[in-house]
Amino acid sequence: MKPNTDKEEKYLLDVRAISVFYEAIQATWDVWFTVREGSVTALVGSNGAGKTAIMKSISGILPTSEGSILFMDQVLDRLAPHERVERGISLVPEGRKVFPYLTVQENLEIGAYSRKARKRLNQTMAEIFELFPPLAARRKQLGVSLSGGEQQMLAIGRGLMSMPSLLMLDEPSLGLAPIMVKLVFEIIEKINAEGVTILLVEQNVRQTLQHAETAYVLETGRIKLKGKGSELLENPHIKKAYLGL
Amino acid sequence: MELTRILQILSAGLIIGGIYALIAVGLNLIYGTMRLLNIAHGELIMLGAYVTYWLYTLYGVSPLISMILVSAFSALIGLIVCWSIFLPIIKTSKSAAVLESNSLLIFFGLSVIFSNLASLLWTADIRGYSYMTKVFYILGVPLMHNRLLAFLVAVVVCILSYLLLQKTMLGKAIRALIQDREASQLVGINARFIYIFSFCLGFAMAGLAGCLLSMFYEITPFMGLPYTIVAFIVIVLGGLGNIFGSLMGGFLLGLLETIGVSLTSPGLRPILSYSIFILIILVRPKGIFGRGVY
Ligand SMILES: Nc1ncnc2c1ncn2[C@@H]1O[C@H](COP(=O)(O)OP(=O)(O)OP(=O)(O)O)[C@@H](O)[C@H]1O
Ligand SMILES: [Mg+2]
Repeated sequence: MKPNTDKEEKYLLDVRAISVFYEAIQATWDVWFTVREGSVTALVGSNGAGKTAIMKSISGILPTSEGSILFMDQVLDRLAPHERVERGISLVPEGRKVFPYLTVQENLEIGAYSRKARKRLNQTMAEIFELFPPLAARRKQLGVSLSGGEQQMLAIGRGLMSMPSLLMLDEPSLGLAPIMVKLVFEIIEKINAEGVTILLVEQNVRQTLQHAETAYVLETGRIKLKGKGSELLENPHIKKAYLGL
Repeated sequence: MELTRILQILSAGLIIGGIYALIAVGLNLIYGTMRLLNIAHGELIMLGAYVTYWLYTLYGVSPLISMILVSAFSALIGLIVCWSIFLPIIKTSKSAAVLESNSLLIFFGLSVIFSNLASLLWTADIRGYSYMTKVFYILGVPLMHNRLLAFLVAVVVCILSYLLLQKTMLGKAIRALIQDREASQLVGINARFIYIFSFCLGFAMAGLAGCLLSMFYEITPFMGLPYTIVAFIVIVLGGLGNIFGSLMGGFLLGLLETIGVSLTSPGLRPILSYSIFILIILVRPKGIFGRGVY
């Protein structure tokens, strides 16, 4: 894929030709993509395609050895993960990574660790409890004692506590029952309607493409396709490789 | 056994247990956050004891004031060591295993350097001083003022550190980092800052323990090692990374040791502690409190 030549568009996130390594192992090559402000943008691909590697490098957990990442027109490359959170990037990681021995409430509080979020901690937490009523009922329970679906809610809630302008979700529907998957996608729409830009990574290709404004297809560490979600649903290669048609 | 004797043993156990808790919480903070085992922990205790001793005998500084001075001094050593050695090697270590072995060697080196430096500067003579040696009686049990003071200070500091971990945002960040390093960075915690803070706090607690111990135990350049071992036993007893477990474990080991010694002989103290250690490893390798309490 070549760089986006349309200079008029405003991008919240602009990923330019990044290569990401896990120590010596290269996970992605020359990845380009952009996320329009206010959109739901998706990154789909099969196991091992490099989706998580890209999420981790945007949030600063993995270094980008080549290329550059721009957020709100500023280069992120040298910033530590906590500085990126402060700028407004939040990742709900693959596997949820809820703090097992903090209570639900503590998990949310710690989500608002960044300076700007801490000031509005109580208001944001009330909003999260409104969005996820089951969490409110379990606020004193330890993270480890929650069900998979509840942990996913908590992970999303924790990610929102930092008041991000970009919320990235790495396979939020993984391992959930169909009814929970549906709920997760509804929640994502709700959050997006509140003005939060979404970057969604999924293997659940059909539902993701139905919800995404723009989607990128990642194959073995490289961007293979880009298009509107609805267009990609009709793409013969996607149909064959990802939708089993 | 008569009641006063039982009370005497219990009070002795609680006093030493409070100090064990202080030492072990310090060690476990550093282990929990950075996954580094500070083998030089006992040498910080030794340095704290010497500083208190010299300030008292040379300048007449009251050990009460030294508690604060020594804690600050030890925290400063922690800051220097963390900043100049450990942050760089954390950054350059290719893997956790490399970091672990390198840091063990470095801590071992530090412990050798500190104890030899102390014996060069101050000779290997056994030192000690008398401070608050008045005896008073609670329920017929004779207690020296300095021991009661040490007990109270240790308990207060342990409670404060527990409150810090439970109630403050900084404390929650420390616990979050202990539980999941990557997730803690994703919520905006500055891991480097937490490393430095835990390192300094852990060192300060060790130094303070040395200050307290100096009021009633002998001071030598090589007094540190037994305390390092005690701290290791306690953090295994209470669960690695489980700060609350270390608090309880310190008191528990102090009591068990004192009761065991009173039933047998003082020479058996190390054997008793090691037996407890081996028993725990065999029966409950995750510690008696497991991981679930903190
Ligand atoms: N910790 C690691 N060390 C070395 N290589 C890794 C590590 N984690 C992932 N990889 C490799 O990097 C490549 C990309 O992995 P990544 O986890 O980003 O894929 P993914 O698209 O998220 O897959 P999945 O859908 O299974 O989560 C894979 O080839 C994988 O084997
Ligand atoms: Mg992944």
